[in-house]
Order: sequence, then structure tokens, then C-alpha cells
Amino acid sequence: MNRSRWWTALIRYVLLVVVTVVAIFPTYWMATMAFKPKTEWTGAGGVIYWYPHNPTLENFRTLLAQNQVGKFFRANTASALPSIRNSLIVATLGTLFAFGVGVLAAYGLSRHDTSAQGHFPFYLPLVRLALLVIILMPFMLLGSRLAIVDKWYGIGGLILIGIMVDDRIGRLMARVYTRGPVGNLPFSILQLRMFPPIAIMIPIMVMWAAFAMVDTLHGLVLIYGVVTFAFVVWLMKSFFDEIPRELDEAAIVDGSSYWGAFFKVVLPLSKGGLAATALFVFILNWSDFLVALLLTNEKWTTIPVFLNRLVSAETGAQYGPKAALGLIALIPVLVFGIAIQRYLVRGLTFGAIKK
Amino acid sequence: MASIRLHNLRKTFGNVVAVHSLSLSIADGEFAALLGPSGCGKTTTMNMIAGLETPTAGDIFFGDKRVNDVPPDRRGVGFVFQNYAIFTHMTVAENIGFGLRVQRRPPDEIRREVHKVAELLDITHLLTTRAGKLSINDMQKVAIGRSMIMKPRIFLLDEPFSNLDASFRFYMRGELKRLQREIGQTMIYVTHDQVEAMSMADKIAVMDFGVLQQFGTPDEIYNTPANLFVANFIGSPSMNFVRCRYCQENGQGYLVQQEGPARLVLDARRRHLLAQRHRADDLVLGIRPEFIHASPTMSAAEPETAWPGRVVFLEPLGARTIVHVRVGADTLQVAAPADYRPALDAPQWLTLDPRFLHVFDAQSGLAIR
Amino acid sequence: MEQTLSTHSSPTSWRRAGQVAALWLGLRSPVHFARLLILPAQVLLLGIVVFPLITEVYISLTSWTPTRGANWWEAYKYWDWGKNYVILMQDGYFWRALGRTALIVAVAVPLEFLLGLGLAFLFLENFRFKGLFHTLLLTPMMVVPAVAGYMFFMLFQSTGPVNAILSALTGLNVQIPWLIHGRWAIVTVIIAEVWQWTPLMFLILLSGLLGIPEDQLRAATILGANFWQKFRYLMWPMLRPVAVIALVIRGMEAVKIFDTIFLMTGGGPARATESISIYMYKVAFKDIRWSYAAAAAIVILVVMTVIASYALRPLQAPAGEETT
Repeated sequence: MNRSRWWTALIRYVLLVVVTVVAIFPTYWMATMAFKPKTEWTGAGGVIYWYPHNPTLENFRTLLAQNQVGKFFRANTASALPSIRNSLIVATLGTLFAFGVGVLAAYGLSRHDTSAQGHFPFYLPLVRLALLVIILMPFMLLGSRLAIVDKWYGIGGLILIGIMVDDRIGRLMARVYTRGPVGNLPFSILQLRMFPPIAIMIPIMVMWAAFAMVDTLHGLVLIYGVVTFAFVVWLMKSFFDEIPRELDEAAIVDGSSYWGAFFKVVLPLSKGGLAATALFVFILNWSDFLVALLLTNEKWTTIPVFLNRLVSAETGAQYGPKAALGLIALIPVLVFGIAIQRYLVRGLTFGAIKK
Repeated sequence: MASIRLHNLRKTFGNVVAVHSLSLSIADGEFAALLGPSGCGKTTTMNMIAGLETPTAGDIFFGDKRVNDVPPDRRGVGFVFQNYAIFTHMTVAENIGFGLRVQRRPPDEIRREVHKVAELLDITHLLTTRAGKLSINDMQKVAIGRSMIMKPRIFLLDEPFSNLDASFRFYMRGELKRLQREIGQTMIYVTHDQVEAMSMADKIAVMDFGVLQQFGTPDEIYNTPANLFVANFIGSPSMNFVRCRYCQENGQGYLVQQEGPARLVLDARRRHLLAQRHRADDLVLGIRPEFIHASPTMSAAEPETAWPGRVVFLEPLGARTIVHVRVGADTLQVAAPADYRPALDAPQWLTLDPRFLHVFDAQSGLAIR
Repeated sequence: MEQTLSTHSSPTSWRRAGQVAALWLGLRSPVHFARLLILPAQVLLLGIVVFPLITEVYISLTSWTPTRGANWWEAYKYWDWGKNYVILMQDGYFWRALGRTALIVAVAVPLEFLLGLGLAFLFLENFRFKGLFHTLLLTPMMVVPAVAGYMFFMLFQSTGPVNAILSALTGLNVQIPWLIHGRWAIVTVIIAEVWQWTPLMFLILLSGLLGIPEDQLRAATILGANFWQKFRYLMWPMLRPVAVIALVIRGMEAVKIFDTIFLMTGGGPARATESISIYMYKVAFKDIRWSYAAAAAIVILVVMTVIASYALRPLQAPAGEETT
């Protein structure tokens, strides 16, 4: 028995080491690339440099310095510094925005909207979304005919009508589907994750262009907020669900207001969950490429977009500086990601699997 | 052969010693209980017997065969887990037939065997129910049935009744005893409930902190506890202990309470025993509440040995009343008749039955016999 | 639940206003409080999901495109009764992109599942450095997808380290044209996808496996079940709900693949790695055919909706509770 244990342990370690090497090799390769001088970048000469033989910070200098970059990149003479700053600002503000909206909704779903408890049929919101689109369509067409859809009263009116219609549909569906869900939140938030983002981004771009929100901070933050707030809702709901309802009920019985119960009892108790969710959402925002690619062109370029420009701008392989930028992009996600390891599964499965 | 012998069995988890050089032998067909407070190593011992844990040192013999290296499924043991470990997603019939199914026995035979077992346990009406929906009581039966169908030579039960409600537990005790007698298997039974152990087992092994304290029949364990731990652990309400020292006066041997006025004349055998010891000034006198007689007046017969005390607390239990009496610094529990109701703080005179005295060495805790 | 406003015999208008305000600030009734909590989310979703969707449907029915000079709400001037959809149905590139995406999902997701399951089994028992291995294995899924695309772009150069490693292992001079040849390029995309997302499968499946009561497995061991039987009769039935969630969620995400491909191959060589997202991007931004891209998007949304209404069904029942 002991002998077989010894063998299984050996096999386990061999397998694990192989898999781990595969898992970290790409990251390792990029990290070393960031410190290699130009002569070691490619194996074109038949020699592969497995580690930097002459480690240098030249790549970082090239990347961050404004003027020197121009020597290497014809199409892009900018330093990477603004894009790093932009990524930080946009990801942070996007996270805060998603939080402001998402935490409230999560608490509402967790505590007050009894119809959203328990068995929640995930496919129903699709019906709901389709109904909304069909019913609101004439109003929208009317609005565009009157050319008021870019005016504040046009938008406000449409949203007001939208809320009323949405509530009606919600109530109707709650009656039809007795097992059902459907409080006031349009659960389109979930299929938002299911559709290729570019499919939603096409009309968003159209509208953003009309409202002059392309390449602006608020335009980016708004869309980041929407894209990630679904995660905030599902994650925070799963955390709130773990706090016994009796606690806030007791606070209300003791004379606290509903807001008081929320801010003074429930939020402090879910500090860990809040932190984990915040980091998770920050990682998502930070990692985004598509939205920033479509909605920025100069001023608010984020790291991944800048990285992409470096790739597409230069036909000759400029591996080093790109690797340096990639490394910079990786550092916060690796640090935060490892910090919230425990919650990653919960986050990426929308709270469906708790560990 | 299905006798079990453990020889210097030892198990450590890191720095924690779970079982300390345990040696035991259980005869074929015997019903043995492993008794002890939680965390005393009894479940680890069971797991080692079943083969779920590998001993750090020592040997396990089934009959004459050393089974340390035999995998669990070849040992011919049945194991009922504390939480039953019922396969909740299967039906009762699939649960009971699982062992035969993994042996690829023909379905007909499995069905027959399952039915036989179910009848024995009186659960035929549940056979098609999903096991996850059963009551705790029925789960218990299914767990026993699932092991029983394999006709194990040795049956191991880990606290099988601790989750059951009281009346069903009482019923199952009887059932298990009957089954064991009918099938004649060797059975080892882990429990922390001394009443269960006393009422069912042929032999009881009392364990504490991984160390075997005493191994014997229920009578032996009850009447001649080997040390203070066993004496304290067995019996409800538990044994009274009074710290004493031995002294001799006028050719008589006395036990004198260390912190109080009480003294007790010893019989010749004990006097002899204690007189031989060179350290006899730190002893513990033990006596069960049943063997103390309390009365409001001093009995005239033995004025010397009646202990003066005062009532501090009354515990009427229905069949009898437990009177807590303070004598000096010690409080003794006395099992008095049901209608005995002295007032609080009333003086009492306690008479101890000298035949049921136990004397322990206070340092080592061992009984002096 | 709902508290009705108590109308007094002579309520002053101020008082009445105060009560209404209190109701709307969620101070009085739990129903109104909940309404208030959810309102921002509702507004956001209407504004940034529902209305854009309507816009998208609207535009897709016209031949509007920004270069025509008109604002998008004037698209009705280019109304053409859904000609875009007719063209789309005959667009070979569209269908091929759809098929290619399906292929990537159909190969990558099961591969991730099997690898993740295998890895999860390695982590069932305790061993030294378990935590370290666990953390290291998770790193790929944290890597920014665009950066991952760039990493694989570097690794899979013809003179890059992957070919060098393969050469060293086989002793041959391996010169696989990973990113240059169409077939190989799609293999590279799948490798990148598997590399990045196997850890997620591993995590989900591990948490599922750890949820299986250990005593049930021990009981099966004593009853003589071998590893395969334990897997088949115990682990798999209990793991199934979790496995379904893992497959559905990963499938959902894999359909959207964009960043990695974009940085690795840009959809090329030729159109060999053009996923459905890349296809739409190209139509909208390379060809500047916005209304056509919108039509493609609507078709994708409908297809995904139909698939999702079946695929997401298993998610309704909470994990662990089976419906037989």
C-alpha cells in the first residue's frame, strides 16, 4: 500500500509540474521578453534566448518616454504613460459606477423582491426583453421621426415610458409564470453576458457618436458600468443572501429606517464580499479591450488598445516594448486575482457556484 | 475467522497522536463497544480496522491474518457511518444493492438479496423511494442494510444512533442486538453514550486521548473501574470523589477527608493494602451515589463513620431524587428514594456502603485493589 | 405588505407632500424601498441595453451608415424593408464565421472540461505545495485576454519558442507555420482559448468534487467499488449539475471570443480565424456597413437567444437538486 502511495504521489507531482509549466510559460516568456535587449527578441538567428542574457530596462524606457518611441513606431509617437493612467482612471470609476447601481439592485433582489427568490428561470428575461423591444419600438420610431431622441426631454420621456412598460410586463409575466421571477429589474442583465458584446456595441457606438460621448471619460465609465454591473448584482446578491434576513428585520423593528438597516447593518457585514466584488469588477474593466477599442481613439486610449496599436503599427516585430506594456497590464490583475482566488469561481459563474 | 486483534496500534496526524499504542483482542462473534468522549481516537481506530486509514505503527490481525496491507474492500468488513453516508441520489433498493452491483452480480440475484435484507429490516415499502427523501430513522436502516447485504465477517458501526430520536434509538438498540445474535458476526460499535455501550456490548473498551483506559465486560467496567477516568466516565450520575489520606489509629485503618471532617473505617483487606504503600497520604475515595444512604438523623449504629453534611441542591428525577450534600469542601451526590425531600441547607448524615468503595491513587489515578 | 397612505380628514398639503416624498424615498413601505433600490439599474438597462437594441433593429432595416451624412434617427430616409437580412442569408463569410465560432466552441470547451476535470482529480487529496500549485494554475485565467493574444502571438512565431520546444522534444526540426497557415491558425486560437480557460473549468469542477460527501466515497470503497465505479455511480451524478453550469457558462463566453484572436491573428490569415465577433467588427469598421453589421448582430442575438433558452434551462434548478 505504501509503495503504491509513493507512485501515485510521484505521478501526481510529475503531472502537476508539467501542467504548471504550461500554465506559466507564456507569462514567463513575456516577462523575460520585457527585459531582453533587441538582439535577443526573436529566434530568427536560430538561437532562442530562454532567459535574458543581458537584462535591460531599455524596453520600459522606450515605452514610457515620449520622444524616443517615435524612433521605433512610425504610426504611434505617444508614450504609454497616458494609456496606463487612463486604464487606472476608467477601470476605477467604472467599478465605482457599477457598484453604485449594482449593490442597490442586489440588495433589493436579495431582500425585498420575493418573486426573484428561489427558482429563477434564467430564460424568461429573454421573452421579457423581446416584448420590451417590440412594445417600445413605435415610441422610439416616433421619437426619431420627431428628431428628439438626442434631446434630454426625448431621452427622459422614452426612459419614463420604458419604466412603465417594463413594470407592466414584469407584473404580467409574474402572473403568467407562477414559478416565476420578474420583479422590477429587467433581467436582460444576464443575457448581456451571453451576446457577443460587439452586437450590443454597434448601436451603442451609433448613439455615443450622436451624443458626442466617444473618447470621453463619462462615455467610457457609463458603458463599463453597464457591462460589469451584472456581475456586481449577481455576486453581491449571493453575498447578501448569506446574511440572515433577520438581522436587517431586527434593525427595522428596533426603529432603524430601511436605509439605516442597509447601510449600518448589511453593508458592514458584507465588507469581505464588497471588497472581493470590487476587485473582481476592477479586473474585468481593466481587462476590457473591445469597448475601449470602439469608443476611444486618442485621448482615453487604455492599455490593451495601446498594446494593439503597437502591434498593428509596426510591421517589424517590436517585441520588447510590447512585452513590457503587457507585463505592466498583468501586474494588477495578477495581484488582485490571487487576492480574491476564493471568489473567482463565484464571480465567473454569476454566483451560481459558491465555494 | 473473524476475531480481531490489534497490536500496539498507533496513529499520528502530524504532531497529534490520535491513537496511542492500542492493543485489544475481540473474539469471534463478540459485540464490542469503543467508548469514550469525542476526540478520543475511537473513530480513527475504526477507520484503521476498516482500512480507511493506514496505521502509523502496529498491526491489525483478523483471525491469524495480518491485514495492514489489505485494501478496505477485501477485508470483509461492513461499515455504518455516523452520518450514514447514504447515496442520496439513488433509490433505497439501489443503495442496498450497491455492493453487489459493483461486483457485477446478476440483476436477479441482486433484487432477491435486496428484498431479503429489506424484509429483515422492515423497509420493503421504501425500496423505490429516493434515499435522500428518507427520514433519519429510515436512513439508518438503509445504511445497515447496505452493509449487511455483503455478509461481512466484521461489522463496524460508528456512532450509528447518535442522530436518532430517543424512542427510535431505544428500538434500534434492541434490533441491532437481535440482528447480531441472529447473524453471529463480530461487531464493533463506537459510541460516546455509556448507556448504549453498557446495555448492548459484551465487551467495552474505554478510551481517552488515544489511550485505552480499560477493556472488559460492562460489569467489570462498572464495578471495578481501573482508574479515575473510567470511574468518572461510566455511571450516571457519576461517581463521587473525595480526596483523602490514610491513617492508622488504635489498630484501625481510616480514610480521612483532606478538607473536611469526614472519616471512614476500612475493612481489613483495604487496610492491609494501604498500609503497605509508602505514600498513602494523597488518595481519592470513590463511591457511586447509589451506595450512599442519607438520613436527617445520625444512625446510632456507627456514629464514627456517618458523615455530617448539609443539603445544597435537590434533583428530583422521578424514580429517585439526587441529593447534593456538602461535606467539608466536597459535594457528594446521593441517590435517595423518590419521595425523599429534605429542606435546603438541612443537616444530613451520610452512610457509605463499605462494600462498594473504590480507592484511587490521586497522582496516577490508578485504582488500588 | 403595502401600506396605504392614511388619508386624514383634513390633511394639509405639506403633510401629504411629505408622505409622498417619504414613500418615494423608501422610508415607509418595503415595497417602495425595493422599487427605489432597483430603479437605477432599471434606468441604466433601459437606456443602455433596451434602447440601443431597438436602435439596432431600426438601423438594420435601413441602409443607413454614418458616412451618408444623416443622423442615425434620420435613418428612415434609407428604409429598405430588411434587404440587409436577405443579403446576410446569402453571405458566405457570415455563415462561415458562424461555423468557425461553433467549431472553436465545440473543440475548446470540451477540451477545457476534460483537462479541468483531470486536474480537479489531482487536487482531491492533500499534498505538499497544494496551495502553490493551485495559485499558479489559476494565473492563466487572470491574464488580460488581449495580452494573452499577444503572448501567443510571440510564442507561436515560426521561429518562436513553441517550435523550438517541439523540436527539442521530438528531435526533429519542427517548423509549424502556426499563425501563417489557416488550419494551424485556428488550432493556435483553440490552444490559446484552452490555455486561458481550463483553470476556470478546473476551479468550478474542483468545487463540485469537493462538495461530494467524503463518507459516501468511503462507504463505496468499503463496499468494493473501484475508482471508475465510484466516478460513475457517485461522483458523476453529484457533479452533473455543476458540470452543466460550467459547460454552459464557458460555452456562452467562448462564443464571444474576440480579444485573443484580434491580437493574435487579427482574424487572418485571410479569414481563417474570423470568429463571429471579428466578422461583425470588420463589417462595421473596415467596410463601414453599419446597418448590415446591425442586421448581423440581430441575427446573432436571435440565434443566441434560441440556443440560450435551452442551454440555460439547467441553471434554473439550483446545483445539487436534481429533477428526475
